[in-house]
Amino acid sequence: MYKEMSEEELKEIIRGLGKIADLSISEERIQILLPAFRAQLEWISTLNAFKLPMEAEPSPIFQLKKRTAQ
Amino acid sequence: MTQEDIPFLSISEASLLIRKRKLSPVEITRTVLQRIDQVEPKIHAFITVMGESALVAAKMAEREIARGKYRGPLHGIPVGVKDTHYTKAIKTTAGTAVLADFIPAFDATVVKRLKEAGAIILGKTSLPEFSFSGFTPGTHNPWDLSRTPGGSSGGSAAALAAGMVLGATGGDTSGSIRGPATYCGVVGLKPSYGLVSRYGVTALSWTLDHVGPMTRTVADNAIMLNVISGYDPNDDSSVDFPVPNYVKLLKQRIKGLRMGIPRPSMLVGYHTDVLSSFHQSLKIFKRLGVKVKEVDMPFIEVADAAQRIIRISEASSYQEKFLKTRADKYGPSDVRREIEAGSLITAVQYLRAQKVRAALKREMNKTLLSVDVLLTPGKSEPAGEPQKAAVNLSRIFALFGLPALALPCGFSSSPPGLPLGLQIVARPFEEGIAYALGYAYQSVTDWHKRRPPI
Repeated sequence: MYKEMSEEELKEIIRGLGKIADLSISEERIQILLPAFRAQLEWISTLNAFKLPMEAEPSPIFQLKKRTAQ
Repeated sequence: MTQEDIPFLSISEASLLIRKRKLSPVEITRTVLQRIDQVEPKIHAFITVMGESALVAAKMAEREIARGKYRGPLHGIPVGVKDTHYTKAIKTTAGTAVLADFIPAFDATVVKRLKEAGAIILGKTSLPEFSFSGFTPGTHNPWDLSRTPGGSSGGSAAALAAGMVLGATGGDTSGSIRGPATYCGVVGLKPSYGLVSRYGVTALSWTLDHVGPMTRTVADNAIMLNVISGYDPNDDSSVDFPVPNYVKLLKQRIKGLRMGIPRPSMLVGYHTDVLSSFHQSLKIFKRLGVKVKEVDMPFIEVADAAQRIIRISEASSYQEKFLKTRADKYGPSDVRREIEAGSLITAVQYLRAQKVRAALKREMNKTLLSVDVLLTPGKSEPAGEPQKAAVNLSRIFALFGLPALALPCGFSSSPPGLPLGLQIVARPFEEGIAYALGYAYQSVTDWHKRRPPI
């Protein structure tokens, strides 16, 4: 969906999220970070397309067990 | 053995000579410091060289050994530590002007354990700003000074390849130990998540960061891991279980082990020389009695996206204090831009990435039930060549916290003379199997014995 958004729409989102994150992002910085923001949206879009199981949804806590089940 | 050979001794060789009193810690430290004087101006592998304190430590090691108090195979051995590792009273910059004046009040657990084992800390090795890149600006590859040593542990890899240390430490969040090790023709282990403490190490991304040993041989790597691994109550991710003796595991039986390799479709875009050396290495493993079969990893693209979102979200959280108070100190790298953008990722998006990670970990576990290890090229191209690979085979193993060992497997022909490498990935906490395979491989090859022309 974000792919249909104009540069100005994306900048507006950055301005809004920047305020929520308590960051004073200047207009110059918004222009600089725009490509990185676009890249993130692409990764998020990939993750959104991945179907997580409705039952037994995995926990978001990363932990490594000593041995993989054999 | 000539004086020129000393800086290129393996830890195993040097420790044997030290134990037999045929080489003293002071002699080896002085010789390596002379080597640093000679080649460091061309390579720039260090942010700080600790010559004075290294000689003091070497003299102390010499006295102890003379009194019969030999601490083990790292006693009197000169090593480097990445400049993300806190060193008491020695500046620790993480490669950034943001921390240019930071002098820690304590040693990182890894540094503390190296010192307790009698290792001589020679200096702090270079890295890109906050470990954010696969390149190390300003540091040169000893095999071709016009090329990068890779990153982020590029200083450690370059110092090893050039004979400026006998062992080093690195950090790996996306491939930052394995990539430079491959580009510089040395050995690097990204251990299982939780095996080596990160206490006192500048964070990049808490749930992805690993600290690991870098050496010139697999056997040396096992020696270092023996010292730096093990439970640390100061690190919340540290796993509490009895760590095996990795040196003893080097010679375990490998015949009959099942090795999974990526299907050809996953290696599209890989450099011809990389593929050629990879296939040559497969023949060697088969001769050693290993059974090889192709495996699928259909989840790589999604895993890659999850790793990137987790990494940048956690990095942005870690950097928040710096971004709000010292934003003007960031260098010309992409770090500030990336963390500003990363600060805008929502908690739900971050947690989705973690849930996807957990779901994919189950898939990876299934893959690792059908084989004992995975073997891939260490990098898709030699140092400094264009990256054309469609699939990144480094990032996902940091995502799943799996042990992954990079080791040299040849040299490129076009361009000529650049190191190429392999990556052996094992099940969680089965570093010993990766080591055994790497050790067997190095017993019948000599790539790890070559020296760069510098």
